[in-house]
Amino acid sequence: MSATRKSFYRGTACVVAFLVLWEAGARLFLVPAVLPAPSQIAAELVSYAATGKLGYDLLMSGQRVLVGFAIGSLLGATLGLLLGSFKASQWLLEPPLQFFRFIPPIAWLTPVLIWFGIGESGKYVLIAYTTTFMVMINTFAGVVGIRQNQLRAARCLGATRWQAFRLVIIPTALPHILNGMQIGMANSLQTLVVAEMLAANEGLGFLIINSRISLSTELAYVAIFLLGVIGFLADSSFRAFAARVAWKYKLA
Amino acid sequence: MTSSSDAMAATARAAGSGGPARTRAAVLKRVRGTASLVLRYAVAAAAIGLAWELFSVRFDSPVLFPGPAKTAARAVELIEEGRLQADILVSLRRIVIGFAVGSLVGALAGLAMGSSRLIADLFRPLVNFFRFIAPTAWIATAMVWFGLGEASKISLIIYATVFVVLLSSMIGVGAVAPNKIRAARCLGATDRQIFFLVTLPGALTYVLTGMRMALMNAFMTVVAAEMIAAEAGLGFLIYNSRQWMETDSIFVGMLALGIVGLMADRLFVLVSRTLLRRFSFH
Repeated sequence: MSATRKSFYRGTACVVAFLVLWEAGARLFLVPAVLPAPSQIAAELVSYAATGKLGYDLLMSGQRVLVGFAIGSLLGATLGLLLGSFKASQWLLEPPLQFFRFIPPIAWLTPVLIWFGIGESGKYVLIAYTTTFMVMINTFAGVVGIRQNQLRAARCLGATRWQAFRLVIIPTALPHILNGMQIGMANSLQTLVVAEMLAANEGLGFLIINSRISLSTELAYVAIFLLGVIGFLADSSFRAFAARVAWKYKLA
Repeated sequence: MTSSSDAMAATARAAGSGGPARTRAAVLKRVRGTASLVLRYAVAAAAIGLAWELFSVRFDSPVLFPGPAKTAARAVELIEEGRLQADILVSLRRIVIGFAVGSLVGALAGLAMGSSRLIADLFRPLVNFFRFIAPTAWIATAMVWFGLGEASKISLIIYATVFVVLLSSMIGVGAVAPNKIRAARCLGATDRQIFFLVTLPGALTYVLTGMRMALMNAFMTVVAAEMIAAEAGLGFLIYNSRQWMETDSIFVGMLALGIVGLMADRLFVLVSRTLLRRFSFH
């Protein structure tokens, strides 16, 4: 038996054991309101999906994340590249970036609600901020970390400032940009859930908090499960993309 | 605070390195570095304050967008009432307990998964599924299981910490150069000796890097949990103030988060640097 096969079997065995134990424990000792069994969650997933409401929730959550993430990535990469390329902005910006790093994006929810209301734009702003910040500090770090000799070499060989930027700075910063986007996506999902819990009438976060009020706990687990799936899919497709596009720049 | 801790780290480092002649130059260099850092922070703070002031004047609505002066006045009020300190302490307590437990569990599990093929094979699928579920998604569940008290918030922070530290520790074990392990084995080290004297020290940098990242996650999670279900803490301060339209209190809470977070991060780096200098932690 090959080694990869062996690890696959072992992993599957552990997942199956986990599910069986959970199923038995939930059915024997617990009421569904505390912890529903996996089969009950699966049944709920199917029946709720059949009503068509689940598709709507997924669509809304997906749209919020994608719009915010796209704006945030673009903005973050641009800002990071520009700010990192100038000595003056490097000098000035590092301290405040360090400071704002520790104000969780979700803390901006309250001001955003006050300024933008509870409509869609508020969520876009919040998720865009989450992504922008992560992408920006990573890009910034990537640009600042470029070895000066590399730049000097390019200049010595007659590259203009723009050429050096395009051919040295951007490729070197690319893995950092992608890395920032990856973290930004994970953080965006976190922000999204809380934003939807506190200020939305649809979406996976709303599903979680609402099912607690209506005491249909299975539905909350459906949403949690789907969030895990989305997170996993986003991350692995991201890795695949990065491996295709940026393999020569060695994505960490 | 940051600068003074940096200065302390600088003198500690300078005192440890080289002969007396070198030490003096090193100290001078460090002092100059610290002074420049203080200047940078001061300039940045002034620039942000000015921009903030201009925006708030332009916005012309002290309730919706208070300026720095109004926010500072509110901060003084909150401190005099004792509320700000109380909220900071409540949040910090949750973070410290959750972060400590989560780091310990994460590091142990990560080291175990890194060292044993069997354990890694068994748990990798489960870990890879659960680590992608945002900790905030568990808020409602945590409340059902652990009630509205401290336990639910702490368990969420543990969840937010565990996977980051676990993954980083696991990678750390994998990153120990195989030749080092071979060398130790050639010299007659037992498995246990190899783990404690080669693998563990080698992976330590990774464990600590993971912990530093997890610390940021812990801050994020605690705020979210406190916004949704708490009667105290910085997240509660930030969210609850919305009901009374006290935007200035919201700003105070956010600034406090930034300051406390930055200090916690610097403290973590300082402690790991001074305690673990021989493992070259940067």
